[in-house]
Amino acid sequence: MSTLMKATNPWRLLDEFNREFSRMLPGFADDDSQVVGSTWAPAVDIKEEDDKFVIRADIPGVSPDDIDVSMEQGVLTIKGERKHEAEENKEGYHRIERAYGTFMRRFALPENVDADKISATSKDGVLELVLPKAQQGDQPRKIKVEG
Amino acid sequence: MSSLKQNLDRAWSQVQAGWNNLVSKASNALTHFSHRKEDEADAQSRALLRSSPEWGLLAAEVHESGDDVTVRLEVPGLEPADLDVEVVDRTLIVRGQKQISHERKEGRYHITECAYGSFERRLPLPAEVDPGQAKASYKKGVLTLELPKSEHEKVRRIPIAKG
Repeated sequence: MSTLMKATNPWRLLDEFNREFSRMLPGFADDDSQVVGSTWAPAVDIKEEDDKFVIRADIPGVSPDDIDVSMEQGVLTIKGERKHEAEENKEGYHRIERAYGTFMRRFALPENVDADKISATSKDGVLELVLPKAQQGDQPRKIKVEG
Repeated sequence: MSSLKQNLDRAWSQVQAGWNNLVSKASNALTHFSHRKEDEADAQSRALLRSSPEWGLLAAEVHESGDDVTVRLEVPGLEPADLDVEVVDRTLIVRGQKQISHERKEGRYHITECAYGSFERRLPLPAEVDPGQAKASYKKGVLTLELPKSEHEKVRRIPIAKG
């Protein structure tokens, strides 16, 4: 084992590797899931079509009322909270793998989307977002530099 | 270049899935998903399956009370018909099939972290249960099973007479 591995926490190394790795991937800047204050992060699929993005997120056991989707300056934020379903005697648990509390994912989309036309549906614990791309006219104008 | 990115994406999502798993200390929830031929019916499904992880987190919760055992399992995006539940001795077996919603529209996947295909999760039960009396429901992507304990497992409180 190298001295480097001995001297440092391997998980910290993995964390740093994660951060470097995410920086290498072009397009989507996912501000990793270890966001301060959130306890878990849902898995997502993001598909880009000609005229829209389709995002699916696995968010089982969360009511649609407890999911908050917002779009600001090209950054899409999905956040919310998973609440306990029933008051149960805490001593009776043999296994707890489920995470409760707040979650958050954030994505910088590579192209402009029309924030007013974003639609969201939730079915069987899967959140589906449809984000239509902004029309050409809404794209930032190129400004010619004259010499 | 695009296949390199896909491989990177896949490696990344696997690293991330593994990492998230460690963080949540839910190593048991990591469940293998296998793909069938018919899942790859069209090009879009093939593209998704190629890059989606073969492991998904199906987090469970097992609670025991005096008379029954309650199991909750997170299995988002399934049809109730695609779920199969069985009790063998003191083991609960949940099998399921997470289908890709088939869409013909062409597109490019940027992030693929959700697992698709068929899976099997086995959970040891803390007591012997009566499968004939079991109740199952599927809501918001969570399968809830209420399994009454076998008669001899039920807790009987014995009142102590005042001496």
